Amino acid sequence: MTIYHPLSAEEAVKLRHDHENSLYLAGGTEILRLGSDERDVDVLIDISNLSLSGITEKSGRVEIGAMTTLEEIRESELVPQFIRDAAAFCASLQIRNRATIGGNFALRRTDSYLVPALLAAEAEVKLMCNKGEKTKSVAEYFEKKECKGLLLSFSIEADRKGCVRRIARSSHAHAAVTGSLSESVYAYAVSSSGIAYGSKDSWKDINYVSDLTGSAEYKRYLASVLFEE
Amino acid sequence: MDAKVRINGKNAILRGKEDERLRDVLYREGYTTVRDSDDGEGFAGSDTIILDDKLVYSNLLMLYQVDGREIRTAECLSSAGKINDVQEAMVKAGVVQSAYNAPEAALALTWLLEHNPNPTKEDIKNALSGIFIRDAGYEHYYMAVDMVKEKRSKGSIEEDAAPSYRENLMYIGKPTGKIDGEALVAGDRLFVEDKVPPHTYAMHVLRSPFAHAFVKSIDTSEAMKIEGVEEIFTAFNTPDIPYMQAGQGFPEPSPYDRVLINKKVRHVGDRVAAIVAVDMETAMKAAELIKVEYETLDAVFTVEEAMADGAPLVHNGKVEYASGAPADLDEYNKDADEREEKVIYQFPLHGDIKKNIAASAHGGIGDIEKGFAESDAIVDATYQTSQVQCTPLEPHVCYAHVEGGRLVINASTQVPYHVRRIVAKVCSLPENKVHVIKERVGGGYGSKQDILVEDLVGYASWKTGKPIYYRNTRAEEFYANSTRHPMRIRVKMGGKKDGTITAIYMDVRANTGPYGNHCLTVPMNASSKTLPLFRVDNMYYDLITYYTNIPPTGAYQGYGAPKGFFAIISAMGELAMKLGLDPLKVAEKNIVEEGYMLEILKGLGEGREGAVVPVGSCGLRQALERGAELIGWGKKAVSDDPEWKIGKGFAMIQQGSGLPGLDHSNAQVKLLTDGTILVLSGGADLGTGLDTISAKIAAEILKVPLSVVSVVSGDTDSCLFDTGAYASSGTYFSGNASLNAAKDLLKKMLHEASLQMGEKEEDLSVEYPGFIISKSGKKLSYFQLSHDATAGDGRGQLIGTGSFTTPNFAVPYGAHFAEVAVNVKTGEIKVRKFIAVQDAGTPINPELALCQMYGAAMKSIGHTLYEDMVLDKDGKCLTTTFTDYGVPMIEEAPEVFKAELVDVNDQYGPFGAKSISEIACNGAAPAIAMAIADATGVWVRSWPITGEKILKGLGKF
Repeated sequence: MTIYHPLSAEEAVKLRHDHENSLYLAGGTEILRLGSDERDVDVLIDISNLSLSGITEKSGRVEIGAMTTLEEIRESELVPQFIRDAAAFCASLQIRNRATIGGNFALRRTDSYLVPALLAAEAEVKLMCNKGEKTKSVAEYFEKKECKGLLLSFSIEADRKGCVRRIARSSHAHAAVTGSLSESVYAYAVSSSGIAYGSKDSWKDINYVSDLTGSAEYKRYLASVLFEE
Repeated sequence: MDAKVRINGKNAILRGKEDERLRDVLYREGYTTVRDSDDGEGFAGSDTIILDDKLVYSNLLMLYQVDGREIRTAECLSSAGKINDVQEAMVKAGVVQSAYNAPEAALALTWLLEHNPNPTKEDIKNALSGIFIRDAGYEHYYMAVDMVKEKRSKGSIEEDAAPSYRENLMYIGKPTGKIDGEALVAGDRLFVEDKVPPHTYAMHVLRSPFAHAFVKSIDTSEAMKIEGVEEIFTAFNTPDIPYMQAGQGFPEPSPYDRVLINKKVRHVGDRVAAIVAVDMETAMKAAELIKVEYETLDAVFTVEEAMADGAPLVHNGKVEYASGAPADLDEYNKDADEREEKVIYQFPLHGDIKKNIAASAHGGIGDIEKGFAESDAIVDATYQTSQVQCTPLEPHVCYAHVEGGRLVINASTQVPYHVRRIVAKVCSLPENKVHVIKERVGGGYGSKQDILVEDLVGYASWKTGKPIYYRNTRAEEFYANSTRHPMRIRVKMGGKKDGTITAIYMDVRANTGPYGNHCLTVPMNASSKTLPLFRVDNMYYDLITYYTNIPPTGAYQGYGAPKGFFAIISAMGELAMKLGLDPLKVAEKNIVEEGYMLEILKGLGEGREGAVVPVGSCGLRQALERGAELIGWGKKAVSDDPEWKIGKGFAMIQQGSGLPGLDHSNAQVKLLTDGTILVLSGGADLGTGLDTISAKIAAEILKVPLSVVSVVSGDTDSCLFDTGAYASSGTYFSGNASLNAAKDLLKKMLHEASLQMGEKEEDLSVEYPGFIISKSGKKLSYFQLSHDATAGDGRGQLIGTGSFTTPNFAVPYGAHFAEVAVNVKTGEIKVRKFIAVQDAGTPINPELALCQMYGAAMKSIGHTLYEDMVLDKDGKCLTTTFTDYGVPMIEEAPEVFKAELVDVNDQYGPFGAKSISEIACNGAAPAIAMAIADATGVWVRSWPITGEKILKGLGKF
């Protein structure tokens, strides 16, 4: 394995495009973990020198650097409560101290801690692409299946209200269904099945698949009642 | 690279490859508290360190990432041999037991208290959220933090971690702390992995990708060409010596149905080849070059598949009997397949391999049909338990080397003498050529009762002459190790309107997997540990154990009892519901009491006729009453949220204390030349405090301070034979052997003193702290006594020897209660309260006893609600990490969790003691199942009890 240590976001993005089997290394809790799908990578691009962490509030929006850890988010009073609650879904303090919002988001896991909350919050994400810096909604980001751009930061309305739910057999188990509701925007992540967002009925768009967290029928039912009055 | 770091307050350089895992570098550089339980999964927390003031997993960091940074490992907590106040409190609280993760838990709590001197329960949960504790549960960690706070504010700790018992005794029944607690919590080099010198060879095992196949040929020629490969062992160059891996007393009630490496693989993960090489990388590279030709066979995975007509046969070799062979054996063997390994029964277990039956048994009392005819209601239901794994934090490890013409094995085992016997057999060596040293065991729970790695590593070391270290991966712990036998148990129970149970029938169908380890004993426990709780005249059981191609099964704390209790107590609850009665009233009406003659035992003798004995000391009724009081039985709890329904359930439970008539323990107690004491115990302390029990017993009998007693145990050269630590035998058997040895030494000391003092023996007695005193007022110190006895003209060193065997049973009883909330919309389950009340006789180490109750209850909450080994259609295990498998962490601990002991004095146990921890695995499943039924009306009759099953029962989808 080769590890690069770029000193700028542009350099990082170039490396990512130059090397086919490469990944950005954020907190490393996924890439380095046993059982990860990402372990067979040839090139790692360490982005720890790019000063991408930190939480600030400006003009009614909270900006969270992509390398901000889940624990920093959980502890921050600047961050809307439901986003903090989503960060706390990661049950291990040791993992939360390393795992980052950018890493968790970019993995697009269907049992993601943060993805439904960020989708429901209509967060914006700032990226560095090979054509330069871009800002788009997280929903737009998800429209493309893959993105080689480097996540720089997330921006959320500071007074955004919402809630999150996670149904898993135990605190450290993979979630069967994770969902978030914020100001009439619904988002669902269903293990091995997919991610959907938008209206309350958007859970219907998911192709439910059975896995270790439960049967397709069970997860479909859960998603259907998750935000039932 | 050289990473410049500051570690534990000092500048240091860590050398290694840039992308090497920090954990591996730290351990290699001598920071041995930084261990690994999960192969870098980022789950169990044995690799926890503090990096720039944050708790992190060192397995999830590469070396280069810490260059220029500050690290603290658990080594920083103690200085000059003195542990810090957090570690001290953990020992005092009783949470330091097998202790593989104890230094990391101490590190996390020290960090917490540095940042927050007055943490809440939630803060403590957060600090321990990434540390898996399997042995002692989490409850006394809160107590340990309270103790630190108290010591820091008041200068001392006033509250003990547990009540004291037996006022007349000095150490027995007092929470003194474990004698090796300080060393364990400090992270001393006490485990097998710490004993492995540099340049030791590695071993990698190539395993079968098929659940059932003949190995037709193996070509190792290319692999052998790789530099650094020493030898490759396969079915074609290892001995054809039938044996089995269960560590049970010889002759074993398990068939010898395997050889070291079989020519027929019987589960995915079965041994195919063992590569010995200079390092693991070379061994794994060689494994890739081994060419194996398989002839695949159809497989069976469930008892239903195994019992079907024409089912593929897991074993079809020649059957032999060491004794009791049936007259038609030659006829039976006519169609045996020569390619298969033999199946040798030491005595008949009523197996029939032509029907995939490894063992069977049946028996009972009274007339069950008459009993059912007399009943007003009958429940006839089938309960299914799943395949679960013990998950000790330290996986199975072994270090073997040859020294002075002998094979020396450093083992993490519950059964050092069975290891010696079985390894000697496999290597065709006499036992005097094998030396087994039991190191500290980083968690056993039954899985280290089986000789699962020592056979292969010992043989490979003996044949190659090389020192070899082997360690199972966490994945191998699941698919190539031992697990609970999955069971299908049908219970038919009849009762009258007044709550009298008139008949019980149990039909136990157990799945032993590919080999017959414990194939009779474990399933027998489903009946033999449950039926004797009931004062019922008509009871009968049938048991059949089937071979299949699932990953191997074996011993797991509780043996078959947790499964039997799940079935029988659930059936009792269902019967009570049908009769419209309170299940607690039904239980109280039908339980045995002291003196009740247990006729049922006659048919529960595990392969031979059992002895009928009366119930001995029995705190069952007190446990039920106390548990009911603590849980608020009879008071319906109602949630404010209509989606959450709350229910209560309970289970009465029992176990045994070793196996009377089968188990055997020996010990020696030596008076050293300065008058101090050394106990040599055959017993294998697996972290539970058995050494402390031996030390306390010797100190109590000889009236000396506990600090002058040391214990060496489980070393087959130094210590005398002991059948091992299983079936809850430690306190009762090994403890009684230590008691007998201490009494023998006392007798010899008094005899010697009478000669030295010129007094009659009957006029002498011993006095604390280590004196012989005479009625005439003379006083002789143990130092002087021993010095003169070992002088040039002395009569020799004073050594007491004790052995213990018994026909008498010391049965522990108890009752566990659960209050559970279920969200009837989402199926979420919360264990709100769990109350465990047990009769352990005299609890010799009461604080350790309570923690073992918490730990065992957590394990059983785990297998009830979360844990599950899932196989795919081809028998491959899909759940090979902690996350996928689903062990409970601190967040899963019940909100209110209380373990309590009822005070009962047993007539046979040492100082009245009975066993404590194994029984505590028996209650959670039936208590939680009953509570869920109480809350929702749905009886879930299979493990794990999941939200999905409840929702299905409620007809939600």
